[in-house]
Amino acid sequence: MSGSLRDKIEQILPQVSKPARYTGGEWNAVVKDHATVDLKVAWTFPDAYEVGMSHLGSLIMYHQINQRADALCERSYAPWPDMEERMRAEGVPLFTLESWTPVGQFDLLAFPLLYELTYSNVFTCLDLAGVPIFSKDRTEAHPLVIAGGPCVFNCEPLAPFLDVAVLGDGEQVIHEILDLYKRWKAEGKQDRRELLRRMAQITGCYVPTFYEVDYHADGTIKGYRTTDPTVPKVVQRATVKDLDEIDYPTRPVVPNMDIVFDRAQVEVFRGCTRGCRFCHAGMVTRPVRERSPEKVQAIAREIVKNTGYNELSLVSLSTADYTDIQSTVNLLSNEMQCTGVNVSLPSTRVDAFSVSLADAVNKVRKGSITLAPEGGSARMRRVINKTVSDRDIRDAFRAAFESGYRSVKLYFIMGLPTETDEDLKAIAEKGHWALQIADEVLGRQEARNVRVTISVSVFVPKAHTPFQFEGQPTHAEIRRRQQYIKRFLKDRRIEYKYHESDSSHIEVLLSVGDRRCSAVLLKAWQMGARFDGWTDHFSYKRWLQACEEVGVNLAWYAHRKKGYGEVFAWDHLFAGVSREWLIDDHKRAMAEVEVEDCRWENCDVCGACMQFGVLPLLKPAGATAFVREDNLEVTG
Amino acid sequence: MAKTGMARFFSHLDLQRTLERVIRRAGVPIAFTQGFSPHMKISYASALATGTSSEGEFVDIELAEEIAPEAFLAAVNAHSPAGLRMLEARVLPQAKSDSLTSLLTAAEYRLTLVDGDLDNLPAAVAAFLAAPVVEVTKEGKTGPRQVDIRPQVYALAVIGPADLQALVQTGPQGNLKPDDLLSGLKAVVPAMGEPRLAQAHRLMLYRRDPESGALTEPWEL
Repeated sequence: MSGSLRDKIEQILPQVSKPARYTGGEWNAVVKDHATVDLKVAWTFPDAYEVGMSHLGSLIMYHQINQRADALCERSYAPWPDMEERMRAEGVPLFTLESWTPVGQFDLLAFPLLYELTYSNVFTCLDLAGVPIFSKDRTEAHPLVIAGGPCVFNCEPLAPFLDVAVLGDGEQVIHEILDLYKRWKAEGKQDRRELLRRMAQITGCYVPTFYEVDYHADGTIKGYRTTDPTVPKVVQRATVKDLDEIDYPTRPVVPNMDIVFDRAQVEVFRGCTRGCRFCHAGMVTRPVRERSPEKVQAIAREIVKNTGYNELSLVSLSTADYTDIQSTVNLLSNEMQCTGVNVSLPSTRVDAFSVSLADAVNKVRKGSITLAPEGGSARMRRVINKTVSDRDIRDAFRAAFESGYRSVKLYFIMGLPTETDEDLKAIAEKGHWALQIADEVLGRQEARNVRVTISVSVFVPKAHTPFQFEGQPTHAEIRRRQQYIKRFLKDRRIEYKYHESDSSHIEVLLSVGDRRCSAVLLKAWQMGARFDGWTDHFSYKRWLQACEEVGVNLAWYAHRKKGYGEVFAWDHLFAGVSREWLIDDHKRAMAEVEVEDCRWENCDVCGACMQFGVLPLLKPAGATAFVREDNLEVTG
Repeated sequence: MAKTGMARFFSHLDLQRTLERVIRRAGVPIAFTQGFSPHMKISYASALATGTSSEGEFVDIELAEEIAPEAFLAAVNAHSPAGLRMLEARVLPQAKSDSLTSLLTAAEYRLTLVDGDLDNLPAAVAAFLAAPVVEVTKEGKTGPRQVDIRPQVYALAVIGPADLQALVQTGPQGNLKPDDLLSGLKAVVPAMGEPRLAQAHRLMLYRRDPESGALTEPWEL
């Protein structure tokens, strides 16, 4: 079977762009004999190979599944439209790269969902795999369709299409899911609904089919009902308590082609409690759990040895916050420099310390440094709880120019709650600050070559954040604000980048949408939506038309402010922060009051630790970790 | 070095990146360039078109310390992805002053065709070789242009019912792609219809003496 399918694939590859996306055969790819395992998982990333292969979570899960003797995990990616066209023309089903096996023949089909604008590709993958689009149409003969990743904390727009959504950290819960499936399979695959019922008992597993929604006449949600007495009213997130107890993939698959993050990645901690109020990741991954420096260093050495990468990235939501960051960075970069391996940090916190840290690893090439103050004015940064002062920003600029950088990239968000024209003007002002400081530090002559890039993205309210109660400004208003910022940018050394707000409107719809939005998704896909995260493939017109045809009011979802008492589509999915805390924090935002980071300061009782029986876990160098519980230090 | 099977779909840049990783994984003591941004000292022959397989790729690798060719081959092949394989290694007495790209000026291919009227293949090859000028349309940066490819074809023979063997120009002076050779054949004998390249495979690279046409294998340079 796979022999002839492979031949067919080989014949179409010369006709498509970037054929190396579909060839497999990468170093460290795990190829197992299908006859020797009980469970086969097709890990299907709903975006291009170069995006999917960059996803650390997928590498982690691939390793978790493949380390089991009774299971295998193979990869598949959404085919680029030219490949999809050829596959359909030649009758080639969606296949895995390890063995050219049709995805439809696997036991589980797993979709990591990282970005709402990849949803249309989920349909492409299901359809090419020959798996019914709707969960209700699948039988015992079809794979179980599961999804994970940050987006599943509100997967309601995908609810009719998913069998199981897995909330939270996947490393441990995947084994419960596989064990359960294995038993069900051994019992002869009787009654798919019974399998789903049992899945719903696993902490972290949400089975949408057992929940029904009632609506008020005004369109808001009245409530959720469970249709089976055994399933939980509120689904809890799966949470790994200590990363040091989890096996890390030190033999990740090394791509043969250029990918987005083409480097070794070591996760230094999970979670972030900086508390930026727009940030979905920071709300659904609480609390902070660090990996010990000893483990980080050991993993780093192994991974470089096993991959041959010339770059090693220490990743997390805010790597400069890692307790042992300074000595870990120094140690690894000194050790690896002689073999031509660079250590890199994915993002730089806005302060002098972080710039010096970035400087320490960039001895070689002084390219540009990227800083994300997010809010232009100090007032706006208090609203969004980005606890960076004007002085931090100036210090970061000074440190950057003093250490030799000649290009600074600044990231801001516009369209944020309470935003005024003064706040927008302050965004432009930061560019001029950078130039003033460059003039002082470098002298006018040298500073003529400095480049400042100001990138401004559009605020997207996300579920489970304090800004879930907010709406996005209208199209016209966003355009006005984008032009308003431009008026204050006078220096030719400043480059101003902003995005069309079109795709961010659809992103809101899919981020805070409910089950009624599933019809829009399916319609848009049927009308040709593919790779919506790629500007040249996204069509706003198509999405507007899809909304219109299925009778969904985009403006109602995108712009409407919501009351504290309103039932949301994701209220039955618990990500870690309680409704009470989100309301309190939203009120603080409106009052421009900041909140402390609980890993270092007082606990603000957001709810995550108590609910999941976990605590912030910081790991300074040395054998013992310490856990923070309010101000109490516990040695472990 | 051979690049076969699915590995033929890597681009030249992919190959370069992959080979550096193979060498790092294998722990080969390679020499680096000096300076702020050290690079591995590897020099490649002319790029192979994506999709073309090969058993005749050559690279110069400068080492920091000498290792036995057998040990080098074993280490590198034990760390290579599927389809990429080092076939032979020899120690050069000293680093070459010229790059492989400029030294190797002829490439030998085996081409397998499908579709079209392949009964005409021997006649087409004879006609091609007899023609003083063979013009094909090439897509250039400034739009399509007519190019005479005949001088770039040094030898052409039918070696099977649908197979050709060709010795063509490569390197910085000019590079003939297998697709363009096929276009040339079709231009000379339109009766062939529309044959397509099912498979292009590079057999060997040579240095060709422009005067005598004598071929020298890379090993002898």
